[in-house]
Amino acid sequence: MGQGGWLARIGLLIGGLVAAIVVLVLLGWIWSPKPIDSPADSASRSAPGWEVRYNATIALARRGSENIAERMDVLQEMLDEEQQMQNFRIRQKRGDREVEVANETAARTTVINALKAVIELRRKQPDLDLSRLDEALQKLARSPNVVVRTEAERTRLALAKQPG
Amino acid sequence: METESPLPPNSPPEKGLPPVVPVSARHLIQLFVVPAFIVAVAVLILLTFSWLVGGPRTPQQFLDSLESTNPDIRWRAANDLAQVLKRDDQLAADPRFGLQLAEILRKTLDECEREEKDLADREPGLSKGDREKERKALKAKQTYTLFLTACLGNLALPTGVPLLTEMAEKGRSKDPQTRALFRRRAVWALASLGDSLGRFDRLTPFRQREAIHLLLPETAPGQPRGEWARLSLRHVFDKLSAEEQSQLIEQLEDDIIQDAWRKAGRDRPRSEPPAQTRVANPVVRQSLGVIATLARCAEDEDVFLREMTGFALTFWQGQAAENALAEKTLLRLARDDGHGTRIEIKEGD
Repeated sequence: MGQGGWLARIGLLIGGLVAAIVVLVLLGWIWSPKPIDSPADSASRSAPGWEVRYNATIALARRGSENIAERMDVLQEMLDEEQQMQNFRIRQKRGDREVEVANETAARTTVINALKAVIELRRKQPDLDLSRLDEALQKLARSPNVVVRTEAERTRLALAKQPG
Repeated sequence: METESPLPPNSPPEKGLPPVVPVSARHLIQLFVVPAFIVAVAVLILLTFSWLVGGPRTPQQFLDSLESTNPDIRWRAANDLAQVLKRDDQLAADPRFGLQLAEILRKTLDECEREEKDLADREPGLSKGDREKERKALKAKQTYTLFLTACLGNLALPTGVPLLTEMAEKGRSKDPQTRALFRRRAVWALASLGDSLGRFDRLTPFRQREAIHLLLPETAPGQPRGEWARLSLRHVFDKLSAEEQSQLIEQLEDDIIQDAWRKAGRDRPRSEPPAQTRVANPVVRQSLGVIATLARCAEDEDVFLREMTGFALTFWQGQAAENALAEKTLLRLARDDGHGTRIEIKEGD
């Protein structure tokens, strides 16, 4: 066994090195924890001060204020379930890393509060035009969450009732 | 037609049925007395346990616990009371209880402010251990103040409004975090109070009159407590009949004149007819001042305070000018851009 044996040994060595690299890469990929949900892009969150705007808009709606017409865009935003999932975030520990996930309870509570405020607004201002909210309500009526769906249907029924 | 002949008396029962025997004393004891005894023992154990570990129950017990020298008893009583007041409409509408609670909060706020100032003056000369000890005692008193604030927010009468509006605007502390916390809790209590005042309307007419007539002797002018009682009386004045309203006005005017003579150090002449000197109608419908306070809080740099102010304005309606101010404030808040500072207060702060 001369040159042939020598080549075989080199071949085996190279093969072993390649196998070791593949194993290391595979191990690195398996062990590194992946974020379940990617962090919300700051650009997709509502503009700063959204908490203040939301509370004030709900208050205007519950008071039956006609001035709510100037802030219908805020109401629409509150009725956007995906937008609220971007706004309400919490940090959770996954392995040795902290990741940011949507706080679904808080997000849906905001949506439901907005739906209830719309019903109250309709009750106090039956002649106010709320058609701008129709699209948002239709989308919520198809929400994956049953409580949101039910409340959205209730709101749609309340808006569909003729005033007087 | 065949008829079945009835069974002769004392004949043995048909197969499968138990023998019918008259009820004996033993049966009665087994069926009724023993279970009653078991239930009585169980109830007694529960009552004893509740008495041993339960807190105050009557209004006077609550007040006594709130004035206890033991800080742990005080804050626990305040914590329990805040929950009880949410459910007990009668206690929440008890004017004497509400006035006493407001006095306790006023006294505690004054003490906190004074002790904070004293500690700041003495702190450089204290050892580290003493400093920590005194800070901890002050923190406990401030926590107790927060519980009392929550209690005033759960009343069915606006007795606590002057104190709560003062706390919301000034904070009553030099420490920025404590001031922010006091202000936020006061605004929260105002929100809760705005919602809670409707409970007075749900009382029976008898209970409403009882509350109003308990307020009357408390309205003596010249003391903060008297002013708080007048404020509550003005708020519920509409619940009285027209005749009762005019009797009440006459009585209050008479009190004011009597007090004026007393302050002058002279006896009121017998010949003077009552209410001769015309005073301003003491029970004229007057603003509680809450919306004005909330409008000022809405201009604050504390973002969280502005957030809570918007929430609180949901629950307060006033006269036309006040409602216009509330709407204007809310429209401004509905365009908020998040400017200012966000003071973070963590658990244990």
